[in-house]
Amino acid sequence: MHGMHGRALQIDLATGKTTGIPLPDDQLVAILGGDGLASDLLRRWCPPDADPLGSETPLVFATSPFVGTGITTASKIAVATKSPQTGVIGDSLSSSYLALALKRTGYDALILTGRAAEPSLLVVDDGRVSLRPAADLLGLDPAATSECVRERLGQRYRVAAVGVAAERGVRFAAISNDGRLAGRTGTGLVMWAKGLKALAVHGTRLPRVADPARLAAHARDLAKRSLGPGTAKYRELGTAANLAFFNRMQLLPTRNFQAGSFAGAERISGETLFLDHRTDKNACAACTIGCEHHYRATDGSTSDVRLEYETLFALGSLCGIDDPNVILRAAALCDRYGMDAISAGGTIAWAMECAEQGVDLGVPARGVPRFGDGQALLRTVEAIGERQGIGELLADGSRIAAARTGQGSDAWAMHVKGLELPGYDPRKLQTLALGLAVGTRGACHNRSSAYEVDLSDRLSPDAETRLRAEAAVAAEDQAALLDSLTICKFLRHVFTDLPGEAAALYGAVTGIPLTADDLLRAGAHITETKKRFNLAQGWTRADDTLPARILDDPESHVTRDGLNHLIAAYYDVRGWNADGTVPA
Amino acid sequence: MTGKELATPELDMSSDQCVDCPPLAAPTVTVELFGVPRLLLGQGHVAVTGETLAEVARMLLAAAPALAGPVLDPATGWPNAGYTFVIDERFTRDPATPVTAASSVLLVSSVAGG
Ligand code: SF4
Repeated sequence: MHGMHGRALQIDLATGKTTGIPLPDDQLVAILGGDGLASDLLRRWCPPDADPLGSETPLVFATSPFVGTGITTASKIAVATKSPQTGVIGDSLSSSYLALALKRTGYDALILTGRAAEPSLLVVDDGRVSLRPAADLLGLDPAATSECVRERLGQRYRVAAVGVAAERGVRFAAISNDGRLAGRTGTGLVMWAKGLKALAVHGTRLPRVADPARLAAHARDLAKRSLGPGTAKYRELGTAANLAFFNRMQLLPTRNFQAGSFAGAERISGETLFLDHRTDKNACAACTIGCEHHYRATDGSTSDVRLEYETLFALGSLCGIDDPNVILRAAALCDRYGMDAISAGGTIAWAMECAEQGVDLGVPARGVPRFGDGQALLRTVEAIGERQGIGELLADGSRIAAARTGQGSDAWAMHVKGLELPGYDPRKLQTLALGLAVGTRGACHNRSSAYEVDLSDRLSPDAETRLRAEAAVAAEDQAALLDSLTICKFLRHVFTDLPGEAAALYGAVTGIPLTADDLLRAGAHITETKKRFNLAQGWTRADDTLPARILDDPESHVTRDGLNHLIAAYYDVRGWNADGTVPA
Repeated sequence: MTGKELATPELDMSSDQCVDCPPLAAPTVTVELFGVPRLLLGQGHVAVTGETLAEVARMLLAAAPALAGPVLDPATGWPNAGYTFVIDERFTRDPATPVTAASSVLLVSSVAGG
């Protein structure tokens, strides 16, 4: 097929041996690329019940047919491994130039296995591979690491790196590239466990596309439409715009999900940040939208910080913090240490509630953060990044921290499968509640985006269980489709017929005439691929649930019985067995 | 908006009533603004009168001309495709939706979450 190289490169980091792995057309068509390809390769290469930090667990990087084609927003790379935070699939997407560089190497994916004998820099240059000592890079943050590597090798290289959080063993350490993160599920810790501080990539070999003229016409049209009303929110205010509205709707997770609105919301709203803190706007490689808004603390304590709604809520309302300068500093610290801000904020909020409840966390009381204490938040983010003091406990995430702590503290550990909840209170969002409960990587709004059903006129709050389950399935499969073609989700409202237009683009790039239905089936197949991986790694029905706080709240629209019915309907819509397993 | 887009409403302009004046005896409704509308106007809410969403939109245009173009259709006041109303926590772009003085009326981006 056109648009892909049709092969992956397996690199055994223990021996330095490399092997070209053919990727036949039928395999690529079935899983499209990006997240689908990374998940599929992970499932094929990872042994059952693998230790996420063991040498046998692969770390996969994958591109898609759309990378490097000029299709707006499509310059994204997918990463997949077994998550050390959740024990299930850890799949993540990151944007920008690294994806383009990898696509040019002559391979569609890298499968990293084994473990380097010493901290190393892996260099992939047009398919030539070398492993170089990187002890001198230890202790550097991801941006500085990237700078050093590019100074050494040349600016034509693009770099993915881990920060100190990974070096110290933080389970939600991220992989950073070009100022972006493969943020959730701890892929950075797996990279570090493979002995890699950084990966540098350069290449010159883009595959040919099937119909350049047709592709150029589609891509031009899409780029033009990408500047219309469907992306206005992202271009003008960014995702931070969610905060004030969510607060008004009682959907803003506050003080570890104790409430859905926050008295300090106005001070940290997207509108306030825009007026008082915004400095600049940026875009990922090959993106016409440019949703990346930069902000600066007014007290001079930060330079420009990229801030999304998810970071804003997690380090803000979730921890009871209403000082934008503190939130910006905390966000900058998470980036510098190279760790996921949602899990950092979610785990700190858990510790803050422990303090409120008088739970002994095994450290002196002055080392335990409290809701609303900005300086304590900053100290705790650093403690996690360094894995020192209370950070030694919190660096494992809220699920493990609660299990280690006991004293009933799991009652307020707000996670699904070990992944801390994103910034949507599911008590009033029934479709999202289902999406979070069954999500293959845990509580993730990116892999489900079922909140769109709740925050629209598509389903009434008392819609039938089956209709809601169908909507959750459709939202999950659409996300799988976008993540596998590596089209940014922020482009989704630009399409009038997403699968139909995506099929036309796919045909122009690959020369393979898929229909909209084919792509929807591929989305479902990709979700199932991830589920099959989880089954091989020990998933059980009990893993598909929500925190007790959501289910036992008398005000919640999501009850235990209601969720169980929704989950049963979801399995049925998917054609899975009643116990959530997938028929052979 | 993820559901089907409703067409810009056909507003009845045949009435003697000046479009800048409130419909007689219509309830006063507070429209709360979020995101770009709030920034454009420099305030978080506007009080207008109207018995339906279409009337509220038309009066909003008259009361807040800064929203004309980027947010509201300059001819009808109806929100462009990037925006939607939320009435009593229900998302709607149905211009016939009735409103009362007790209604909670929000004007928000039609792109939820993200
Ligand atoms: S819309 Fe934002 S996240 Fe998506 S590709 Fe563009 S800049 Fe990157």
